[in-house]
Amino acid sequence: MLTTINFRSQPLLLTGALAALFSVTGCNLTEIEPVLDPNNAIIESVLTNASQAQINALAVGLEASLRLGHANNSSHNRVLGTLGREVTVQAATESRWYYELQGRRGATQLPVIVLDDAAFYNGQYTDFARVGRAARVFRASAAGSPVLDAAQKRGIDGFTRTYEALSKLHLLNLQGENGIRVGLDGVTVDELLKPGKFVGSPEALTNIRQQLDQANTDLAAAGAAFGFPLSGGFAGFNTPATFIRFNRALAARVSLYQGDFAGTLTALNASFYDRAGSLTLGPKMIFSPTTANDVGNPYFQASNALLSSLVSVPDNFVTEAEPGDQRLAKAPRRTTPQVVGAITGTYEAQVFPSQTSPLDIIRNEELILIAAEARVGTNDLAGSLLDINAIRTRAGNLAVLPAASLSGAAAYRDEILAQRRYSLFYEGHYLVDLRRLNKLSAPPVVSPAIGARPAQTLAYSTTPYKLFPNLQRPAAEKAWDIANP
Amino acid sequence: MKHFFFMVVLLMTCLLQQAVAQDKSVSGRVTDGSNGQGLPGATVLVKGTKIGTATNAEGQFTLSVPASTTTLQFSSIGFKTTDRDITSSATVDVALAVEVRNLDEVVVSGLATNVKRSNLANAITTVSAKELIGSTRPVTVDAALSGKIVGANISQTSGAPGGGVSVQLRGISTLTGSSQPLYIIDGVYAVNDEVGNGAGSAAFSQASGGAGRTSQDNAVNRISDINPNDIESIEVLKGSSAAAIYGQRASNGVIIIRTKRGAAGKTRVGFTQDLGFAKAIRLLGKEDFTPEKIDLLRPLPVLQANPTPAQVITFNTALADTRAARADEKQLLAEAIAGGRIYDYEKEIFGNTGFVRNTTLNMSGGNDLTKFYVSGTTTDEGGIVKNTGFARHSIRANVDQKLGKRIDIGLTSNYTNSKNRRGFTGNDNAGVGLGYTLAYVPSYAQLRPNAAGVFPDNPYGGDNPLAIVERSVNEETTNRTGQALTGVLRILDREKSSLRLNVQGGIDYANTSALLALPADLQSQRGLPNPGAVRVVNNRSLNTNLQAFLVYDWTLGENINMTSQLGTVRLRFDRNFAYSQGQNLAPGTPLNPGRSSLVTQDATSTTEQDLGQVVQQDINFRDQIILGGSVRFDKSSRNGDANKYYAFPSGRIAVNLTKFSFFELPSVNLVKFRAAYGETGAPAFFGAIYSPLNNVSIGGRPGFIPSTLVGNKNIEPERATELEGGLDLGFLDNRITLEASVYQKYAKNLVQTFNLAPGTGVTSIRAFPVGDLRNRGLELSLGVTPVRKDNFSWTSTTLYSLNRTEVTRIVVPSFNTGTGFGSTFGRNIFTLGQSPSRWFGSPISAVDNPNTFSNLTRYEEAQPRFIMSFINNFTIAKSVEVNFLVAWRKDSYTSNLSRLLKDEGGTTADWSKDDDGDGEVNGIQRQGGTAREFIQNSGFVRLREASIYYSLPASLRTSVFKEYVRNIRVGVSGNNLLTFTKYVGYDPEVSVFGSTTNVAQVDVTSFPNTRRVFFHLNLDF
Repeated sequence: MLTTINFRSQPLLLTGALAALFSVTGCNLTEIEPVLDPNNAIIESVLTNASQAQINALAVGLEASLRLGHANNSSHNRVLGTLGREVTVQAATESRWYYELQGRRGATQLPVIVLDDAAFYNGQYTDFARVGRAARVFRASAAGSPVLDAAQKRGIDGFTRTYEALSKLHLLNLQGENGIRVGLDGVTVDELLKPGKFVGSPEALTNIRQQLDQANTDLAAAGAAFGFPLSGGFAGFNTPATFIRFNRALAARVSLYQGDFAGTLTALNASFYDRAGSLTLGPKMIFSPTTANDVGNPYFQASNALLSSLVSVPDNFVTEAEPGDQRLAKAPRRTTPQVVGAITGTYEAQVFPSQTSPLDIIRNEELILIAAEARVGTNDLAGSLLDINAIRTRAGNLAVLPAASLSGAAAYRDEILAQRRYSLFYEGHYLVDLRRLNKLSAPPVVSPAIGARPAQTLAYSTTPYKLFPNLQRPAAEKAWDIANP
Repeated sequence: MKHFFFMVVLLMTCLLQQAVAQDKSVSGRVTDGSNGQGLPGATVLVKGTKIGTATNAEGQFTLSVPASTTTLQFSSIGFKTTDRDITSSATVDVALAVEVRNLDEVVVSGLATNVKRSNLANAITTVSAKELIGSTRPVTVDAALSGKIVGANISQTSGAPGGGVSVQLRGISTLTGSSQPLYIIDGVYAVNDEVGNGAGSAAFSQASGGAGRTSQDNAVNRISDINPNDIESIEVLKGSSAAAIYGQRASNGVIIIRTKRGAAGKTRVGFTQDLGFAKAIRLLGKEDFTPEKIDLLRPLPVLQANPTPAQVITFNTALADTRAARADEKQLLAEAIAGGRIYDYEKEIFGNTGFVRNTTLNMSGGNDLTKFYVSGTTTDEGGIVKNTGFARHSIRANVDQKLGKRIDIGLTSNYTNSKNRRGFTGNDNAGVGLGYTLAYVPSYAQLRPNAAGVFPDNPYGGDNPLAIVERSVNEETTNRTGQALTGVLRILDREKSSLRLNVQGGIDYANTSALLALPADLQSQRGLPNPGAVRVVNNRSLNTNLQAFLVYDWTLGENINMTSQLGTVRLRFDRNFAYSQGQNLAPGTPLNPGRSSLVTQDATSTTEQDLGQVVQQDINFRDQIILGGSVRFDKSSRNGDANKYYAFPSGRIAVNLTKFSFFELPSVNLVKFRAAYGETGAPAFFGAIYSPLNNVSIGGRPGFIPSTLVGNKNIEPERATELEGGLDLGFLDNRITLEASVYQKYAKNLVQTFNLAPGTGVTSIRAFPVGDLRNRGLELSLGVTPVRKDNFSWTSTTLYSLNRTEVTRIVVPSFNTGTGFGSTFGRNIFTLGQSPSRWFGSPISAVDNPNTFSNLTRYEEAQPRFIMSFINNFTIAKSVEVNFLVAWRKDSYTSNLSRLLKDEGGTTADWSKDDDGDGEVNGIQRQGGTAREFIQNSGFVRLREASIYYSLPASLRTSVFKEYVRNIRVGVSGNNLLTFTKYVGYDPEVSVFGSTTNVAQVDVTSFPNTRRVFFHLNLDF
């Protein structure tokens, strides 16, 4: 009978069975194919031998990266605007916006002692740090690319270093006296494991300024044109020579923060500062929500809409403005106030008319205000007043302020701070200004009345509210330093 | 029903070898002792041999046995094994008694072999069809397992129709990827992804900031597609020592589901009809408003000391505004009271009754060569929220065919169509989450639609919840098919040795399409820059597996039975997740992304391939000492080196004292010591090895930017090692059984994102072996049959388990883990010496908490102190059966934000009370609480299942239906009938994040869980 198997044939049978076993399990018994990332390009593909198209894409990425910290759920201007009491985020389903960030525990009279170091509102820290990362990866890729000449590589060095400095400046604005981490030059995993240490605010500013200066040197050696295109947001600033003017504008801002007023004026001279020029002149982030992988301006809100998350403006912004200030158009009165958490939103933030409105990175209006402040620092009060009045008349449609109404440098600074409040409203500046000018320690009066302008105060600043000068250092940063002393 | 206790015919036939000399024929009938009905599929064996057969559908059998045979052994899952002397008789009828734990039932121990329970060296839990759904009808299979597996922490994380269940076996095994066990259904690696559809994304509830799929989508896991009525039994390999043979997919344990198969004999037809209803277990209630309360919710502004003139003006305006707002609200209140228009919106939304129906028709039968089981089921569950529901329709055909004497083929084929409509619940930042919005709606709000059907705006939240119920869309349809083919070739078939080739292949394909929509004219949409959102989702999953094993049974001398096996397993998992979304919709319908100005789309695909090689050796010395060992070598494309093998060994020993000749205690029938060690793995999640560039564009040009994550090209699989020891006892003819196990399970080289200094612009290395953690636990399972009489029997099972987890090694900075909302509400930390499921939170104090992470205060553990369940079954007069299951979860803790929302909205039932008499009402005082207020005890005692069934007496039945109907049974049952808990949310089991890897759950007005009551009718033809 065929089914009776001879004992001696058993090894043969086993072999046959094993062969059958191999064949049923598919092609190859011992190999599987490694799977390549099916969804994204990988970083290794650009770090060496990047093509021109890849260089262009990295430039697009770096330019776009600056929007990340704005277009997320802890957007920069909302968080800093809340801490600086410029705006109130009346989120129907996130009371931490108007309780915790204003220093109050719920509807009680109890204060919040320390802000959360891992809550949603700290999310933008990573977004701005990522700008620096994008800059470093772009720079390293350009260095390893065969399609760029030496001048083009210098151009990319200057371009990326400017953005890297901007990244650090944003982080420092969030962190204040906590300082920031510097010494982050590497792009490899090994280098990421050895980041530099935290330095305090003055050292950080020095570091940022040095990086801007180095970028300036790079850009000066970058030839006539960049080796990559920039978006329309950089119209007028898209060649090395014109990009330098943007770089120097940033250097002026940093020098001002440092209190180096002579340096500020030097930098302004090389920038696009123009007392008579368009106030909106300057490079911008542009938006196009209907384009794939693009976004809309996150600060746009429909006027008088019933919103789940309304950004309203505290009443004192309006009542403390000089009568007739046309900048109040940024905070119009709502037809119907919206009440959330017992806070009545009478005025709403309307800085941007549409979701395609660009967001200024730095503009002439700020440069004029920087000049005004730097001139006070160098005792050029007359020059300062020219700048102040340029803003008052051109931005605010207000009367010229006579020299007699300002008595001494302190009065100039108060006036400039008030002008900054209205000119740069809801752009993330006011908290930083209050902090560097030491105005947060004795709230609520920030600056006294001058002329027709009422005294400037801070809403939600006395018990049970509490002012925070900066966000907490992120939990992950603290944990890293504990583990890597 | 006893006749649902089919044995595993196909697998058993592998062992039932034909004997050489067959010269005596025995026949008879095996019946269920509790009701006298024939027991199909029971095993009949010549004692001490492999000669045997299985009973047919009527319980009848015929068997040729050697002339020398004296004793036959009869066994079936759920019944006491019984021996009968046949020396003087050629026919034998046996009535098997019900038993809590049958030591002779067959348990799958390897990928191609079985072992008797009494020979097991691991604590493997088997749940029979009767235990699973014999009492009542939980929503899904995994929900039906709740309280029935010692050592499993099973929670129903969503009350939404179609469920959402988290199953955690023996503590925490992983921090990333899925914490859910591997499900193997008839040999097929089942798709059990919890894939979101985007309901929590930025365009919809904004619960999460992400644009694509989010962890807050209220997703269903795909086990909900499985029809519980088709299940024959479920085996649960809880730890690595039992699951080592499954290698690198088994660190969370393995749940092996076997579906029903046919038995030879007359064709049997069964029909079941369940009708029932579901209601919310509890609602949070409301407190009505008074003018005084309106004032309390709107405090008057305070004028600063030494105010500036502008501040005085601001103050006066604000004062006037507040007074006006108070007056307006008071007027609205007065109007509502006068018009009798005070409403309980919570009750209107969550207080409805959902109707549930469930119809099953099955047929089984066949002959010696061909056996079949076919079934069809349709289930329809209405939700407690209007316009929500779940429906499942499935058909199955399981066919077994013998080809000659040497080849057996088994085919399993299944198709399921399931639909669910879940609405929007849980966390929310857009105003569409029902529970969230409701918390802020006072009872005097007027939200009902006008005569034209137009809903008014809700001034107290982002949207009108009644409009959301009526007009939002969140529905999913899944089409799924599972196909499996098994083949056994008996190559060698001798008295003392046999060799067979066991080949198995299968696919599981699931396609889910979803439609999400928020029409543009909803209140929450009108104010957005791009009002109106619609998303069409298409998620496809395909699992394929193929395995081949050579199994060699042989004997060494007279006393040692050996089983040697060698095999190979190949797996491939493909996923393709895509959606198209439109915002800024053109008016009206249809809701289609094409009718919009802002289209976003995404297509993500993943592919994983695994290959494993297995050798296993089992040695049985006269059932006295059982030894076993195996090694599995695995590789996976998810590992850094796709072609490197990792070895996962195991070894085990069981010593059964009662089988030794010196053991002579008649009242003690089992004393078994067992110990087992095993290792399993888990490859890093898909994508862990890549450092992607994310796509962005500006100015119309495409670009990319480095991700905040970098890959790890050297990542290796996680490894769990487990040592388990146990003692099994049986007394008084197994009327008392105790199974006690202890385990120590290490999860080593846990793969977790390695948090870097975020200032570098990189938040983490995606996957890194960050450290180890240890789970230690105890599991006790006590089975008692206090009464076993003809007219009354009572069986009782008590399960007790506890698990403790601790981080034993960490090589990276301590990090946040879990899903908590921040220190105000509680979060979990992975830090040395602590459990990763322990809660930490505010107050933050460097003085009081100098040594904790971020100086947070340490709170309780999310894992329960212990879990217990009491399962009881009574059979009275062979016709009435009563069951109940009580589940007790002791002191688990959940971060619960539900009451906070209602406190903020002034709607909490005790808002105006002042419990501590300090003059500040509860509703305001509690908002100032630290994390203590939110980290709440979610322990409970719950009557999970209760039922009573009645079988019509045969006389009555035959007088009406003659012999056409063989059995008629009616019953009534309930699920979650009673709950005792101090928890203040909708339900202590729910979680807004679905199943979480570290067990710690967060509740933000999740979909309330339901209490379900059913009426049952079962007919057998």
